[in-house]
Amino acid sequence: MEQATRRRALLHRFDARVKVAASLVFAVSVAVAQEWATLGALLGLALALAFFGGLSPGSLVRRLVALDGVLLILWITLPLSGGGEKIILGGVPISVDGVATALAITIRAHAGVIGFLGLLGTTPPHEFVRALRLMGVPQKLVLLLHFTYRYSHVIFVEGAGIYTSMILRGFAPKLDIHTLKNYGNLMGNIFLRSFRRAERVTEAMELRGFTADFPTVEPPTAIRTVHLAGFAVFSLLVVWCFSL
Amino acid sequence: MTPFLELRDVVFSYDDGNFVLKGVNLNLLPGGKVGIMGPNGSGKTTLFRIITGLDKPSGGEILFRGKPVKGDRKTLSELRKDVGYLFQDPDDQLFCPTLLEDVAFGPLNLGLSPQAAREKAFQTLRLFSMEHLADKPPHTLSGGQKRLGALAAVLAMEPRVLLLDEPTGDLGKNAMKSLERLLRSEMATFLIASHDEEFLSKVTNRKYCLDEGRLLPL
Repeated sequence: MEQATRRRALLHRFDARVKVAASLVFAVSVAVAQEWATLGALLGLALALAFFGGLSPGSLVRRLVALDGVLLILWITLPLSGGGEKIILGGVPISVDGVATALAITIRAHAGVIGFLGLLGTTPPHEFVRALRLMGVPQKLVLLLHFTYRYSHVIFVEGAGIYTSMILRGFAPKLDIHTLKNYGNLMGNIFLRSFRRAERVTEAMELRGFTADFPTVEPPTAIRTVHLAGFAVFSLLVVWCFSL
Repeated sequence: MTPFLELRDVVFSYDDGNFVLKGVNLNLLPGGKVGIMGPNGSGKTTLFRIITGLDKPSGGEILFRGKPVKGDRKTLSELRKDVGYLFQDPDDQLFCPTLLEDVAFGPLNLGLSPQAAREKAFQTLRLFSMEHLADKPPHTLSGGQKRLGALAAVLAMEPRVLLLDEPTGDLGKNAMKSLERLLRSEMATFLIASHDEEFLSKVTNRKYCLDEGRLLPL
């Protein structure tokens, strides 16, 4: 996610804890907003976050296309299956409630993703993990997130290696049982290797004295006043969105 | 002189009855530099895992500084302070958000203050001229940098004995020289498992071959 943003944008300079807190406020707001005006304003706020996060329009569109692929299914199913008042379009009955629900979900999803890209996309993963730890998030959850991020690269490389060796030995994916079986083998292989690696990482941690606490050399620092002020302004803007 | 490490008739077999080690004997005196060669699957890694208590031997005895190594947590914790083990795959040993935190992980667990652990980590990274990489997440490092980073993480705990499992893989010329310089120092005591005979000849004063479960002098 971080790769989507330019490193020198304003939000890059903000304390990661402030951005995590702002993300939480924003996520809850997007989830509970009911009025069209509020949803529209929150989408506007998300775009402002993307701007201040230095998110380039190209990378924003690329990320939204992936999301829109999923939303397309909603746009196909909800108008046809929703209840309430119906209008006939080309001989097909379209539910007005279904369209409204699909539109609300689309705005919510776009606002959420764009806002998160602006806030968390400007936070390097190690800073994000550290912020969660300093904010008192349970250690198990923090470690789970940290290890997922740390080893996703390694697992991806391992998986890519296996896939390359399959291709080199003549594997040509098609829509048939042979392909599905081989994909199943690939997934099983990746899972087994990940499991084995998890065991080795645990052993490496134990050899270096790990018991239960994950220590850090970085002493907790106070959040700068200007960053807190930024969070206050952001929260006020969210409140304003609900007053519309 | 009491050896740092002594293996007496160490035997290891898997649950299926396949014997990997069939009575391994070895003494490692302070300053001892021992190289172990052997084909893949000959049991080099298993030997290191047994020494550090990650696997239990099926038979025989391991003595550390003259005392038998038992499998209890306290004894193992004391042993692991003094015996540093570098894994074959550095990705297994670099698990913290940044290289600095990885190298400081051991010292912090040994009870050093965050400030002292930080200084210790920088001091260790300087041995390999890697201090400029301190804030890098480990997955962004090159293969050689990861290996030296993992070695720095082990060395930061100031172990008395090093167990190095294929330490030369991925290393470039300069990194290799740094490692050689470190291992050739008089104080260094280590066991190295490697296929690199030339490297072993440069840094060790005894070499063995582990073949069919037995350690044979070369």
